Amino acid sequence: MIPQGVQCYFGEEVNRRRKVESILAAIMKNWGFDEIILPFFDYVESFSYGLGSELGDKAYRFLDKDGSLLALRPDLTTLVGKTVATRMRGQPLPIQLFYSGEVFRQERAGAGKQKESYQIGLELMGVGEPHADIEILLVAIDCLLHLGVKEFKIALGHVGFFNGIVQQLNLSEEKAGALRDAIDHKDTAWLKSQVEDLQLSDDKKRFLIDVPNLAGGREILELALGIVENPRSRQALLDLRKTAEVLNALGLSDFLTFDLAEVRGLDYYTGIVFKIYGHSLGFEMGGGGRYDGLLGRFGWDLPAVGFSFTLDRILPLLADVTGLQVPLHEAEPHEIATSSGDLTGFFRQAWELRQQGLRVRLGGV
Amino acid sequence: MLTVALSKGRLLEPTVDFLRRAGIEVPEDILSSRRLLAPDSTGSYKFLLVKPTDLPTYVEYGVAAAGICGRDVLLEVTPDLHQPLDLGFGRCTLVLAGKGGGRKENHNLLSTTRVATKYPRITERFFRSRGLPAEVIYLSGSVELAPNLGLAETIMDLVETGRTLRENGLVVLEEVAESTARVVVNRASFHIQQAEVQEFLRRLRKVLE
Repeated sequence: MIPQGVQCYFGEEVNRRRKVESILAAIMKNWGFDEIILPFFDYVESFSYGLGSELGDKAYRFLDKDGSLLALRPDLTTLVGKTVATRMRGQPLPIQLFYSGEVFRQERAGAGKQKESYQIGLELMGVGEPHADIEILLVAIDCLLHLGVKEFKIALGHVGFFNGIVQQLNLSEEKAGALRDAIDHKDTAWLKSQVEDLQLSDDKKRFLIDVPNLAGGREILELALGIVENPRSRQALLDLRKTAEVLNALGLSDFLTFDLAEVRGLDYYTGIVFKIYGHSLGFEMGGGGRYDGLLGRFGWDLPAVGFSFTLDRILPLLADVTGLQVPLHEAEPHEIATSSGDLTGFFRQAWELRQQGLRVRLGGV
Repeated sequence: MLTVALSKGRLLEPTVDFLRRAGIEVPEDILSSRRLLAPDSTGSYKFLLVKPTDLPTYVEYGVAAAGICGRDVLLEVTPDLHQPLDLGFGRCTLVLAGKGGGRKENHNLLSTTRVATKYPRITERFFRSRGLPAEVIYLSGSVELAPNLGLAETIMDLVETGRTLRENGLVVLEEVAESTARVVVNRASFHIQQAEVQEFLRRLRKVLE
């Protein structure tokens, strides 16, 4: 008898997992990220900000000898944020870290969810939008291309788009929550019933009911820009547009799709949010976003953005990994200052150097 | 090719009718349940015929990209899916019912009640949200017999016309939720098969207009 949802690997499966892990680690290093090894547990309250009640409730909790309440890590980003804010304060920016390890959540196992799952991810701290946002999307794409995954989509949204609308309408938290749920499930029937009693023009109501359908190529950004007036939503759309332009210039736009109804995710997200979907996999294999408020909670207010892959969900997409090469890297990375040239020019230069196998990291801001 | 799951049973006929009006022909083999998996003649769709309560599972795992099922099933299973369309047909009400005789007014006063149902999770949520302790008895069919046999005081069941309830001497104590046929879409398929999913939804929306 074993507890439901625990994992155990041996034989060829172990080689396969370790190989993929080492490839991802090597790529992240080449993009200028250093590895961090994190603790398995921390105080419950360290996780409580940002994880929200949903994930907070899923943590395995236990008591320390002195009576303090501890939790097995349900999330790694929080631990990176806490470590950076408390132990690395004052170090030159940006701070770029990657990690791998298990997270533990009390989930109903199934549909890709496990109680114990293995994540590989990274965090880029100290660089604001849009440079850092684009940078981490590019790392994610580079990782999957190296692994030979050709068919995938990054569904990109921005919480500022929805929050701007909520703010402008001055909605109660309860009402905003109901709207968010309806939009998240693209449940137009329910959304319609929620929007009916709002003090809005019919045009605006129709637009709000149509938000779940604002998914697709760049044209949906233009469509939304033609309608929303509040500055927060507009800024979010303009940031997404810049991201689209850069990825387009690099010939990577096939991997990107926009979803303005991408409003869920962890409570700590403040900017872009995204999920990465693969062909013939019913659930996302990774995801991430911007969380500018998290580090401030631990004493060093830094903008930050990151993502993680769930290893167990990437593996089914890969055929034979024995032929895959672990990228080599040089000891010292080339630095390119983010202030040099225009956004597209900067990323084109960095992408080309990286495609030659060079180790490149973002320079100071 | 877009794989679409269809619910066996009461929703199958109206679903096939609706799809026909949208210009999508479900193959005869599916309709007669001779085959459980078959493509349409144009090769744009593949249909999968499954038990209604299993449908969300097929879509959640991405085995089918989309599906059509009752809202009652979605409330019970609470799958993590997009629910972009209410197709409006297959209208039913989920009700709490029991024997007549004055209980209609005071079913809230029962100290502990036994409820028989095919919808244990909805029933559990309903009673707990009212602060009422209830013993939920799961049955997979003939739920309306339970009060007369003394198995349970009340039942939580889906009612279309109310005839079955009347025939068993039961009255509606409370209407709990409305159910109609809904389109569900897998979250990954929504993006990975974007063009096909949008075309499917566009065709269905057109019928609703």
